[in-house]
Amino acid sequence: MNNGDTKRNGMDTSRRDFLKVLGVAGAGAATVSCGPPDVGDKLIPYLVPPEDIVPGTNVTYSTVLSEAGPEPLGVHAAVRDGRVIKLEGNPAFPNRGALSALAQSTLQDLYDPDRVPGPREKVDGDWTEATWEAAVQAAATAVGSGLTLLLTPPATGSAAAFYAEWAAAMGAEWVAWEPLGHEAMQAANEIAFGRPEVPAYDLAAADHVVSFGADFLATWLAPVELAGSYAEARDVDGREPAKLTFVGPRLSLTGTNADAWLPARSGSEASLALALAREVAERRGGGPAARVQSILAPFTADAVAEASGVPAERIRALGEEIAAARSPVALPPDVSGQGVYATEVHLAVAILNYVAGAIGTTVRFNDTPVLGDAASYADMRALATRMRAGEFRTVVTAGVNPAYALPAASGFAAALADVPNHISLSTRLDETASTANWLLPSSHELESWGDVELRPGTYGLRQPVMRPVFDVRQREDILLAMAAAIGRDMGVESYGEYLQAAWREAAGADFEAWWHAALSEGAVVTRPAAAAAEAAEAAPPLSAAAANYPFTLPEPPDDGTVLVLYPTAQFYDGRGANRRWMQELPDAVTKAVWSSWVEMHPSTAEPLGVENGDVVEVSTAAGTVRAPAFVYRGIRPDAIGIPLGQGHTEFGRTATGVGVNPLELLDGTADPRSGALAYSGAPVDLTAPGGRDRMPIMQGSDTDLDREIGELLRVDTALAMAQAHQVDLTELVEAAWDSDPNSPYRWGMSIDLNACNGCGACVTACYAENNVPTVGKDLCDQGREMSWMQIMRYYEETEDDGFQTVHVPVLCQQCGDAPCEPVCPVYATYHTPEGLNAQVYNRCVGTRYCANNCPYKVRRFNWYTYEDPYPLNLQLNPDVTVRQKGVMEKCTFCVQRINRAKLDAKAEGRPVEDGEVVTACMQTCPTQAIRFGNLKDPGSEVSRAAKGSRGYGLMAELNTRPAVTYLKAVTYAPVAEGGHGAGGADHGGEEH
Amino acid sequence: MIPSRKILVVMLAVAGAAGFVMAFGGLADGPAERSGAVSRSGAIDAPAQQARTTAPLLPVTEWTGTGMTAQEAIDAHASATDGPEQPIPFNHRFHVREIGMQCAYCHGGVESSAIAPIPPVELCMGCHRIVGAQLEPVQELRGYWDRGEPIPWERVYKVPDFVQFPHEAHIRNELDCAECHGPVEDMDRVSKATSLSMGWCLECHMGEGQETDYATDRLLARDFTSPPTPEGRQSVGLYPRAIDQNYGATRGPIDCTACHY
Repeated sequence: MNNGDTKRNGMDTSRRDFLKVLGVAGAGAATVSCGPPDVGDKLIPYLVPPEDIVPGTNVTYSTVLSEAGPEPLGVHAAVRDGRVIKLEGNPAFPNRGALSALAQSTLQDLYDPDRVPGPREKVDGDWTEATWEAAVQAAATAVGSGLTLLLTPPATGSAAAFYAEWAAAMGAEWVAWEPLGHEAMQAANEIAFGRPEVPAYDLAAADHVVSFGADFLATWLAPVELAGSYAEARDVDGREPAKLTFVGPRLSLTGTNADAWLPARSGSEASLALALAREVAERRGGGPAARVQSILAPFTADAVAEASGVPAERIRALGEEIAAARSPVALPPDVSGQGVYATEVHLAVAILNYVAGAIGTTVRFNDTPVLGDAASYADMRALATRMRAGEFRTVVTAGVNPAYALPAASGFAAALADVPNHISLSTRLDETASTANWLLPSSHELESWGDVELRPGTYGLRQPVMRPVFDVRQREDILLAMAAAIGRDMGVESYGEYLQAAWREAAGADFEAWWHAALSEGAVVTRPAAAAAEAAEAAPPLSAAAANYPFTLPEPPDDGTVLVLYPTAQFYDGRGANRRWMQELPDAVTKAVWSSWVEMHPSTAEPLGVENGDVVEVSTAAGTVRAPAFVYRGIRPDAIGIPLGQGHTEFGRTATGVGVNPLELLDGTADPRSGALAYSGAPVDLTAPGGRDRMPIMQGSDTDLDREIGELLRVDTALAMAQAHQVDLTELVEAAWDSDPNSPYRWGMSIDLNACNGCGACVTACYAENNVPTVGKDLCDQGREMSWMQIMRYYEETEDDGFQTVHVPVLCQQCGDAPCEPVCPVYATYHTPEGLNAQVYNRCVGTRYCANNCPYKVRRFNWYTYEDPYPLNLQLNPDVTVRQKGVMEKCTFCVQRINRAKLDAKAEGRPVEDGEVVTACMQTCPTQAIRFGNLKDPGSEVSRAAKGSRGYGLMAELNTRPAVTYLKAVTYAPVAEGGHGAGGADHGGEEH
Repeated sequence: MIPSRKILVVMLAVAGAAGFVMAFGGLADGPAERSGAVSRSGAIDAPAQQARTTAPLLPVTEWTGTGMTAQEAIDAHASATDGPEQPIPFNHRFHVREIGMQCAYCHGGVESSAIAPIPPVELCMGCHRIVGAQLEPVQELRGYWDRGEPIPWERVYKVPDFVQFPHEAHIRNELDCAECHGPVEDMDRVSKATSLSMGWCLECHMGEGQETDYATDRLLARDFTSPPTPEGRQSVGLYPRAIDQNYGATRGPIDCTACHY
């Protein structure tokens, strides 16, 4: 079992041994005084200074990542002395300056100690070092002998053209593929609108979002962009927020943010969507309704109620709401709802959108995201057949891991193993690369050139932000070298040259100037000609095929339990599994780390006699996995949920051996129309073989025990309060005992729980910015995690016997009257004149009194000195002290960024301006839930936010006077609002 | 482990080699040498000055030389006993007092960086391609240059890893380098002139001029009965005087988080 242990000199020395050693060494140790250590270190200068770089300062480069998650993400990479230390979103891109947790953790992929450090040849089953010349020659010879398959992730822009050209020059076949693709949606849209595309969803304009299982806030399609636009629609200040209804067997992260849940049986989504379409068509009428009237006729609410498990009156009510909505949108399922008839579900949702008038408004077919051609699961199965038939002598894999991400039942991994020559250009020794004969490791995206087509005609440029960490080369350059080695000239020396040639035309006369400007000005460029050519119809008409599609009413359900697989925000398709930050980021639903689990309803768990952590065995016709149970009200009794992405057998020291890979449960059935893999819907047998499996859950209680930590308001209450009530901030700013009237600043934060969806991006950004260590599974199990920020997930009962979830990011509240301060015997924690609750690491002697006295439990003690192996330590932020054993640490509102802003302001002889200090958590938040600034400036954004009527302080009745103001989440669900109702905000000892 | 500084040094070494390739290597091999830099806020920085590779004229100062010859300077460095011996017997006195070079000519960037950069080998070679080419240490320098190796200078000043010391703030406030580094213009071999202890820092930051160990002072004055009010804290000496506003002030901040975070 992999525990991910990072502690140094931990348990191997017992206390008694330590004292013995101390006794002997004491005399020597006594001569070592405190103070700065010896000055024997070396100072190594540059040989030739790179231009634009001042040693010791950050240089920020714009680039774009296409393998950092489901969507391409524009980033600003902060580079210190030649090493990337932080990624931040690029505001010029659709992700609007935000990044997901997975994208933040890309740095741990770049600096992964398990990356292949240089070319390798497999000799007698062992990897031996090789030279690049030999490796390229061997690979080129193999490819040149013909019958070659090149397998890459989907490519857009210049890369797509390059791979095609390379394949043509080498006589090879190029196939692009990624797991969790969108083939079912594309197939359905081809049938419905003649457009095999993924449409552009404009959630910001929607007033009712109906998600048929799409986890669009975490993993589906473009979660960073969609979370941002949904947060806009959800804004409650001065307007009625959009409503979110979740339809599906399991509440995902998105589901936990929904106002209403229609717990539809897995596999019944299509008929439910059609029943809703029928309800909407009946009420709205008009042309679209008339066109699909005949196919919708059988799908009455009563007819699908039994099959879907959703009462007919709830279907009718939702249909009525959609019909009444000004701008509704229905989102088709992700893989958690991708069963055997995936295309039908997508088609049914498209028809619902059609009758609801969403096509052309919230669902547009112009300016659609460019995904690049990709093989479906069925195509990959066919490839496996061809490999077995000997149609390929050489397979070149680059950036894909089919041996892990395709179920064994596809036969792909087995067929690949039989291909005589397998050349891997992988960055790491994953399940696929480990079966290769040659490894020619590629550089990371952050070390590479490239471009990505975001929307038709709109591109993001990728540039290397640092030199490679290892002896690796860019993927395309390796392919070019292979072509050159056997005399197939592609006309360019390097991919950088190829890329520049591709842009020369768009650049006009002065290419150098254009190129430099394009890279520095946010790296988004357009090709006007191409954009015009791609200008497409936003609302294509529904085809006759769709209007007459032979939908059939669902069979009545049997009594069995079905499998629901879903990707998580941490691991997505498994790519995040070797990143310690991702393993230690609690799952949004279960709050578990370093684990896999089987989610099951309490009524499923009870007859099995299992509780959280008890091992359950899940069997299908194809296989069996064992994982700890997680009892969850947010899943139907006839379904179990297992996350994808864990259970690697070869991926690196962090990922290998953690959790299970539930793809083993799949028999490899594909949707006959689109060729999409049926991830969900397989019948399972559940048994409890006994025993427990450790599953560290990083949250003690599922509710806030009525302490009003996570607060939910009904929408109408919130709107009424907004009129009635504004909070006086004087108390918050000035009444704190320690506030210094002479200080121009009182730093404060506001967190809008209505915008926060619990995705965890802030938590990971904090790890990256503040050198927060990861501790591994053992210590997580003992509650010794180091995360400075935690997102608490609390359930609130509703009056209709359901529940609502509220996600509460909890960090140090920087109390005005902090309980931690008076108990520190050495003043290591104290109040700064600017209202920060400071923590002086070098002063701390580790009594832990402060942590014991902290009501928020946000202080973290270094029980060990935690080490990350080289080169992970290159990511450390030099602006923040790396803490060691015996020291308490916690959030300080990114005081290094505050100090930087103060230095810059002081140099210009002015105060720090609003918006100048951006904490790491605030910067990365896709929904802009976090605001930070000076509470003494009444015009600052944080002051205005904190004044809002939804504001409250966490456990403010303790009189801690927190500097963090939470804004209550709002919901359309009938939550109980307690007795304190519209009284609104309270920051100090108000009666409850 | 408190590795950040050491890593920085290693990184500089790696980046130094990178810089060499950047100057002479091809596009595909070089990192983003042609890209522009954007600041934290996303706005575009003005084109950074590229002057350090094209040597400007030597600045003339009011230093008056003592007639020391280059060979005397080399010998003086070798025979000096204070401070660590450097890989090349570089004589600061000779370069500063005799030739009249300013600190920032070689340690450029100190006005905008937390660190005072050590001059790149290229900068040394800017003069020593021609000047003093016959001298043995200059030939050693040339050897580093020809081999493409940075010079492993011995560190003289070091603040602990838990101290964040911004050079640029002190330069902007017109502190003379010598305030902390001593009379380098009179040092044949640079040695540590000041203790760099926290009490020494606070002599300036508190503006009193008294030698005090601030931390110990506060600890000894700890009064467990006073309420944690500003007055109470002042009574135990935590805030010995009005807190400076951090802008427009002449003295540096005395708040712990100014340096420790």
